[in-house]
Amino acid sequence: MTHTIMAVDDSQSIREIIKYALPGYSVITAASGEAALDRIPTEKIDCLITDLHMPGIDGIELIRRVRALPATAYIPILMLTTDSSDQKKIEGKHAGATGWLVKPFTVAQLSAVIKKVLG
Amino acid sequence: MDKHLEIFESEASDLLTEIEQVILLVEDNPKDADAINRLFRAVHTLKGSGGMFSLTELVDLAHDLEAVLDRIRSNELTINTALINIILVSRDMLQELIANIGKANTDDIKIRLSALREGLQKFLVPKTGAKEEIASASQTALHMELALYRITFYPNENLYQTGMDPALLLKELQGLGRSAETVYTDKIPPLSGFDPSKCYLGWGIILETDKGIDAIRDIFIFVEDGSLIDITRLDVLPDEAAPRLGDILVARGDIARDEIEKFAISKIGQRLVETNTVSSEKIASSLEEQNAVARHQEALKRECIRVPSDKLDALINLVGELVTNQARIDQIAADINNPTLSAPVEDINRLTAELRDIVLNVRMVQIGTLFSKYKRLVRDLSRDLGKELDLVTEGEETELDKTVIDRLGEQLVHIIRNSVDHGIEPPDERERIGKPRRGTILLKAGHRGAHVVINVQDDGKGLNTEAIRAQAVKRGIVSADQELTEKEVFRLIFAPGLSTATKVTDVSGRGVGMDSVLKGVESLRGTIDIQSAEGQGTTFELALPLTLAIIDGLLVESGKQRYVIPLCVVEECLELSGETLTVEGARNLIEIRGGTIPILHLYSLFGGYSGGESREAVIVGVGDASVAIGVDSIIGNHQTVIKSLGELGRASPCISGATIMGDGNVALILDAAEIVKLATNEEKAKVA
Repeated sequence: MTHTIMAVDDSQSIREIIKYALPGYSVITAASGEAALDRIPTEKIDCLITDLHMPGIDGIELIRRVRALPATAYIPILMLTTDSSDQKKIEGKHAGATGWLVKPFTVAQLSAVIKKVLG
Repeated sequence: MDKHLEIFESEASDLLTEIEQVILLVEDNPKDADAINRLFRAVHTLKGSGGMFSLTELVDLAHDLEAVLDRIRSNELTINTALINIILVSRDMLQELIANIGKANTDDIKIRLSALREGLQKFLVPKTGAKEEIASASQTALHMELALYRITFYPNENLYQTGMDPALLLKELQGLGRSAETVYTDKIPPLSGFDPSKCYLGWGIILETDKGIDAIRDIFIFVEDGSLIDITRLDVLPDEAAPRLGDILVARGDIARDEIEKFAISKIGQRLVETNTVSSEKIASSLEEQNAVARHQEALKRECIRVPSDKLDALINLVGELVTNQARIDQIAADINNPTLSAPVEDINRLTAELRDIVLNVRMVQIGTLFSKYKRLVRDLSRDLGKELDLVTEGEETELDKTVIDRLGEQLVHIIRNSVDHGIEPPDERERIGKPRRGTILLKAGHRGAHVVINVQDDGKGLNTEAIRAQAVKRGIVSADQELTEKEVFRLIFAPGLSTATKVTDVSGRGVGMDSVLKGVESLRGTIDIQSAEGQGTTFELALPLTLAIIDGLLVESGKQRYVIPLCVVEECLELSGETLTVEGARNLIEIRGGTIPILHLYSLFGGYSGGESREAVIVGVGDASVAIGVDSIIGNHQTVIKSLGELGRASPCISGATIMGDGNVALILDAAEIVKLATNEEKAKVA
């Protein structure tokens, strides 16, 4: 079964790279937290990757809202952060994130982390 | 990635435009927090995306700029013209860097960049500590030493709510090496307090890996919060006894030392569980640990490198060449007789000899590998033949050249089959003559000088000399009136086509076998000796050279041609004079210490008669027979690297190979067993 991963980032190049880095998965993208929340009810997603810094609904808030939805309450959620500081990670974890990936990341790192949470 | 780089460039150009527009807004309205946020985000995104393409200079500059903007955002800096200017300059520099992607930055850019970053630093309070990179869940591919770890993992109860599947963690651990997991269920509450959305399980894992402790920590990186994770490296010494269960439990903190003393009896685990002192799961995990420690010790002991044997053969060949050339240099140095040269030549001599020994030793294999195959053979054979017997092996650790072992296998099978079939009596018969019902075949290996000696000894009925003799006469191998010693009769069993088996079985008795065994062993430059006593049993004793590649030889000369006689068969050397040489009729004999032995002159065997009689003789012994080989002169010891002669070598059975001498000439290696056979046969023919 192919897992569906939703990648949320306001940077188009990051979205494209995530698509490129995960050839074995079905990757759908959203350019903002709002767009992601719009699509989640109609898509069956197995994993969410989201940037933290976004205009509008930011990553932390998106994680919180996605966790609150019954369909996505238990899916793995990964946050992308340029900050390697612990502060953001803790905030994200509190909001319900499963794990994180520090930007810049390599294709290998991304697929390793996805493997970690999706098997 | 080119496609992605294009996307990045167009995205970056949008971001740069935004930065420019927003900064001008900020200049007009320094209090516009929203504008400053937009500015910050734009720079931040640029930094994040730029990092994906390893644009280090761009990322560093964006990082500094972001830090400055962060201070403005948090009201630590007030906007002024100088600040606006440097932000604009930075933005232009970012644009320049992006335009320059794929090209090396000019010195001009580098200088302006470093000046700019210095300028930006002035707006930043130096933070304590350098920029710290916390490792993300990266793949640690480092290869470290193999070690054993004990991992205790009780995840945060809310594990499932973070979207984490503990099974995936365990799977990931398994990917690191060899692991054994035990599930702990002791934290599961009674049903009344049970929340199905929570994780109450724990795991005890014993992991053997060479990836290092950081790789293990990496696996747990997302679940650290609120989980109990204990990773302990177990120090295992290869020679120490595996720790006792009680010690393991104490070390793991499952029980206190003084408490365990109460259970200081055997079957401690069982007692601990029975008395509810320690849960059976904890005991199970500790037992896993005990096993893993023992396994790990085994692994530590046997740290071997597997090398294809053809690489070894190539190495042996090279060392052979080296030894040959060494001999040449030796000879040259001896001719020149210059002390300045002699000293290093002697050193090289010693080093070469050491190298040769080590390389030859690498090819040594324990004979136990061969012995173990025969247990099954004997078991199946004895069942098929209705016999009861045990195979006892001794000296499995004796080492032999791999080639010798490979080729020896078949010969030993024949001998063992013979012993089972013809040697060991049926159980009832054994009982009748007062022997234990079960027979024994002893397979024993050991060293004797430069040889490995293998004995196949049975406690069966022994060889029947009369039957063998009768059979040999019937087949025309010997004449009816020929006098034969007991040994000579025994050796008749190696004659082609001779079998004393009263009925032919599938196992042996077709008369093929023993002669091929002798050929096989002799082709390895080995010998077979038989001892047998009727009613008591038979022993086949195989003596084999340690190695096939290089031997110590005695160099002799006959008719201007040089020959090498393997030193292991040489019994003595002597000078021939008129007195020692006796010619009795047509017989060629020499007198030695009151007895006579046949003499065979190499010139008569290979031609090249130099005019006179042989002046010296080398006495060689194979089995019980001795023969003198007459030569012109004995030159001395020679390190002989054996080269196969291929088809040419078949011209005479008395030649087993050749070697290249120090001076580049070829010397032929004599096959002592063949020469002895030839001489004794000639002798017999003449007597007859």
